[in-house]
Amino acid sequence: MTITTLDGVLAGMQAPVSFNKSSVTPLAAATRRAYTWWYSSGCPGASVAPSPGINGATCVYGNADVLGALTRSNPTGGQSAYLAQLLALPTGQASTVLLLDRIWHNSGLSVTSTTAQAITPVAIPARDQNGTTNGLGVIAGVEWSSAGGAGTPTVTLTYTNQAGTTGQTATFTGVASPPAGTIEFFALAAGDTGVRACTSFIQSATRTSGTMHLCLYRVVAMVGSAVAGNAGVTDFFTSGRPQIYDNSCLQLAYINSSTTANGLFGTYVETQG
Amino acid sequence: MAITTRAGAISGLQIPTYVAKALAGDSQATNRLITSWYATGWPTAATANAAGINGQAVSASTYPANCIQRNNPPSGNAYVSDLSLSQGVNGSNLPGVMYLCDRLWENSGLSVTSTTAQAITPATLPARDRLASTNGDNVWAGVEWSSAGGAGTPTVTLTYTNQAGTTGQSATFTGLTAPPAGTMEIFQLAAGDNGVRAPTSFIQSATRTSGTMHLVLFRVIAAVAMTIPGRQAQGDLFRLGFPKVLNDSCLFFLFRSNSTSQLPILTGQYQETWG
Repeated sequence: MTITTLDGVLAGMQAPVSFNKSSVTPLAAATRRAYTWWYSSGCPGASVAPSPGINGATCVYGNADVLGALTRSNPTGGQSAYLAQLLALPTGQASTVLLLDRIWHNSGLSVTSTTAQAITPVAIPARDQNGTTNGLGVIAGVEWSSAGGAGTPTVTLTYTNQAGTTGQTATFTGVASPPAGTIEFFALAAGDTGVRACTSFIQSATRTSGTMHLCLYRVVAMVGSAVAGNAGVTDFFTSGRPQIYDNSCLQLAYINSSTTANGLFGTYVETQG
Repeated sequence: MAITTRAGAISGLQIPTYVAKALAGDSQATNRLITSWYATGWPTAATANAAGINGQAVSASTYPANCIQRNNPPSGNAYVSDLSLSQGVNGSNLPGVMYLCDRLWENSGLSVTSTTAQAITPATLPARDRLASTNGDNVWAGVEWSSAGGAGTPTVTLTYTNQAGTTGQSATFTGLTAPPAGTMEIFQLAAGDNGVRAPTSFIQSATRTSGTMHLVLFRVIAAVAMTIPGRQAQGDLFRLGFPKVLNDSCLFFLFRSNSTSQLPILTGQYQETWG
C-alpha cells in the first residue's frame, strides 16, 4: 500500500525517536567527504566496527553489527513506511545532516596494500531508490571506524552499476589522517547513477594505518543547518515523502563547513500506511 | 481509538496552555541541556524532589502545579497539535532546539562528593516509554542540578538495565565544572542501546564539591527549532509528527542552546487534540 492522502499521513504517524550523539571532529571541508556519528556515543549508543570480511554483509536493522541505527519497526500488513519528520541540530558548526540507509558494508580491506583486493559481494538488499536490488541511487564510500594514517592515494573501486554493467570504475583521492567517522565518497563513472555490487578495490599508495570499510548507502533525506546550533527540519512534504524500506539501517552523517567538533541532537518520525 | 483524519484532529482540539519560563543553566556542550523544571514562570517552578536515592516514578499528579498544564482525555488518545514558542527577551543564545519531554523518574540523595558506587534500587518506570511500556525504549537519563554544583570534572558513570532488559550496562559523561542550577547532563549509552529501563548504580571518578543533583529519566516527545530572538518557532500536527501524549504525562522542556551569553526567556503555547 501507499500513503496518498493527508489523512493517511496523520493516521500512520509512529512514536517519535529522539537521538543525541557526541562530537566527531572533522578535517577541512572537501568535496565528497562526510562524517558519520555511527561510531559516536549517545542515544542510540555507538555502533561497533563491522567484521563480515571483505565480501561484506547486507545491513539488516536489529543485527548485532548495526546496533547504532536509529530505532524503528517495520510496518505490518503490507503497509509502507515513509519519513514524516527529521529534526537535526548539529551542535558545533553549520552543516548538512544526511539521513542514510546503510545498505551493505565490509571489513578486512588492507589499508597498506597497493594491489587489487577482490570482492565477491553479498548482494545488496532491495533497498535502492526504487526498493529493488539494482542499486539505483546507491552511493559507495570508504568509512573509517578508527583513524587512518598518512597517505593521499587515488582509491579506485571497480563495480557493477545500476544497469548491471560490470567493470565500471569509481575513484576519489584519499585524505591524509582521516579521523574515525570519516566517509570518503566515490565519484562514479560517467553516466552511472548507482552501485549494485563492488567487485574490486585498489589504492595507488598506502594509507599507513587505521581501519576502513567499504560501505553502500542510500541518501534518504538531508537537512541543512545554516548556523552552528541551528536545527534543520524536514517533514513528509518538504522531504519529498522518501520511503523507508523494511529492515532499513538508518545512519546519520554530516557534510562539514569547518573543522569544529560537531555533535548532534534531534528527532525522527515515520508514518506508515 | 485514535485520530486518523484531519477532521478528527480539528474536532478534538483542546484549549491551548500558556507557557512562560525564565530558563537558567548551561547547555553549551554536546550532551548538556537546560531544564525548565526549576525555572520560574508558568507553570511554576518545581522544588527539588526528596524521594531518596531509589527514586520515584513521576506523573502529572506528582507535580500538579509544575508540569505543563493538561488533562487526560476521557477516552481515546491525546496528541500534540501545536507547540509555538519564542524567546523575545534574552534571546541571544539562539539558535537552539526546544525539547518537549515527559518526566518519568527522578531521585535525590546522591552524594556530590562521593567517588564510590552509590547503589540504586529504583522504583519501576511508569508505562510511558516510546511504546507506552515500562521497558525504557528511547528513555534518556541525565543528571539535573537543582542547586549549582561545585568544582570538578569527573567521569560520571551510570550502571543501568537497558530497554531490552540487559543488566549491567554502563553510560557515561564528563561532568561540567560548576554547573549552574538547571543544567541537565545527559548520559551517553552503551553501544547499541536506545534507552534506560532502570538505573542501578552511580559513581563519579572525582568529587563535584558541592551542590544538589538528581538522576532523572525522561522521554523526548517533540522538538522545535528556535532560530532568532522574537521569531516564533512553531510545530503543528505534521511538522511535529503528531506525537501521542500518554495519560499522566509530566511535561517539561529541555533547551539546547548555542551560547551561554544570556539566559532565555521562553514564552508560548502548548495545545493538544483528543480523539
